[in-house]
Amino acid sequence: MRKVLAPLLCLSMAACATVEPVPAARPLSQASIATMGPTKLSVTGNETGVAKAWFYTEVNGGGAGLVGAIAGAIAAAIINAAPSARAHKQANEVAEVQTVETLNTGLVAELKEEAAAGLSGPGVTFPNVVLTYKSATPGALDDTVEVVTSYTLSEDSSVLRIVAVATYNSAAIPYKTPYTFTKAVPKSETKGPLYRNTFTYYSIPLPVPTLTPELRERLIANIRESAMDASGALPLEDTAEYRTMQREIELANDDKLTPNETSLFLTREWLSDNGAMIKAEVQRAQDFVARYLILDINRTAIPSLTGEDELLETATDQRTVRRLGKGYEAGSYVSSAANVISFATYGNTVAIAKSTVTYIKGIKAAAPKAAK
Amino acid sequence: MTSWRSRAGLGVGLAATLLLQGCVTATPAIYGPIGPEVPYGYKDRPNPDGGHTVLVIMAGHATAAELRGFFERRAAELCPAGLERTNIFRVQANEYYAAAPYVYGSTGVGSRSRMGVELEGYVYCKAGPDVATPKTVVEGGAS
Repeated sequence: MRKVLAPLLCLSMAACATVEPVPAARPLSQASIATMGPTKLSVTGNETGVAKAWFYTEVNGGGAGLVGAIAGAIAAAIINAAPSARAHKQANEVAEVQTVETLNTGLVAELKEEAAAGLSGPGVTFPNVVLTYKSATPGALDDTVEVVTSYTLSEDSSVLRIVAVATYNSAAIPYKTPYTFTKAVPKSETKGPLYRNTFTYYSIPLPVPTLTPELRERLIANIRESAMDASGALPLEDTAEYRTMQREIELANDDKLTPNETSLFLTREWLSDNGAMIKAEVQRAQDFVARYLILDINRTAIPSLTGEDELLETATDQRTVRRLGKGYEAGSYVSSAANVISFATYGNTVAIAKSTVTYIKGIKAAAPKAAK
Repeated sequence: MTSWRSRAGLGVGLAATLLLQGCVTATPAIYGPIGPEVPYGYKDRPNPDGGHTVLVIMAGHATAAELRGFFERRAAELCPAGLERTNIFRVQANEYYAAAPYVYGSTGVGSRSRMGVELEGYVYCKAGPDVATPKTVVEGGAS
């Protein structure tokens, strides 16, 4: 047994030790830029809308056998019921003011505008900007720059984070790594897109409220209100809904305001004035993505793991745009609000609005008809 | 059997106590530059626009206020003639999510913990003696 295990262990350790990291960003070479010239740009239709981040607590009851596994599943359902319900409710509310459709058409419009301004320039240009839903047209598009986006409200809803990843694949121009490796070229560096970069935008953070007796009362009132059915009645005792509500009230009565509880107050702020704040942040984020993607596509500098961040832009409200200089994220772009004061976390899962799911189902259902 | 169980229980109890003590006795970071042997503290560098980038790293239990305290202290040191402005653009918690463990005869619950916290920002000094950037960069490129 040892004779088998020892070589296996050595092999597995050696495999870990020999992978040499490189930045995720892949700039185009001058030759690739010249070959590409005018290229199609496709915004991959976002299918999650503004998703609400929350933390799913995993429970493993397998250690206690089948009974334990069932007990574990029940425990997980109870623990996660309240945060999941809150996150989904908030995602639904946000989708009422900022639909997935407007997110996608908005980015297409921004990219079209930015691309039109650079059409006469040399290098890669985008005369054709389209919207493609993967639900309807699955698979990577050849000879097309594709932009995939995610819009996420942090766990406490203080920050809206928007991430866009742009890639370009071409069967005619395979990727060749610009890095040298002491041993064999890692498998990940022998394939994949010819171009890749990430553009991340963080909204102006909303101030997190301080827990006061008044705020605690508002929180409990909010929990009761959320638990009411359509007729305004609270759940009956001995029901799962009642137990969930009671557990939430118990948690609300402690001296800590969790990110999930904070989100109840902050999501409302995003929704005020018909979502004016969220719409303004989305537009600014899309403008950032469009401007920097079109600049970056013709940039050939190869990022290194040990460089320094570069400050590229400071707006009048002190928002900055940086190109990261080191680590896996080297070469990527980050637009950050000024004077950030607290942590924003993004949990391990997201809630998607019902209306978004319905909209995407509709697109998927209509796809075969459109193809006819 | 009973003896083995009670010993195991005692061992688990002791380990838990030690772990808890580890959490309780966490000491605040000592103000100073980050180095090869010093993982927590501050690190800064001058920027081409005349400002400085200041990075503060602390252990996971530190608060945003503690991070800001180090940042402001370092900013004051970099700008003896006073601060023109500062801009904190990143306050980040590096979290670790542990999957629910398999516990023999029991249930395990997944957890999250902060492995470290970071704050990064720019510092711009008022005109005057500047300890870290002797050269003066004139806005607009004119000199």
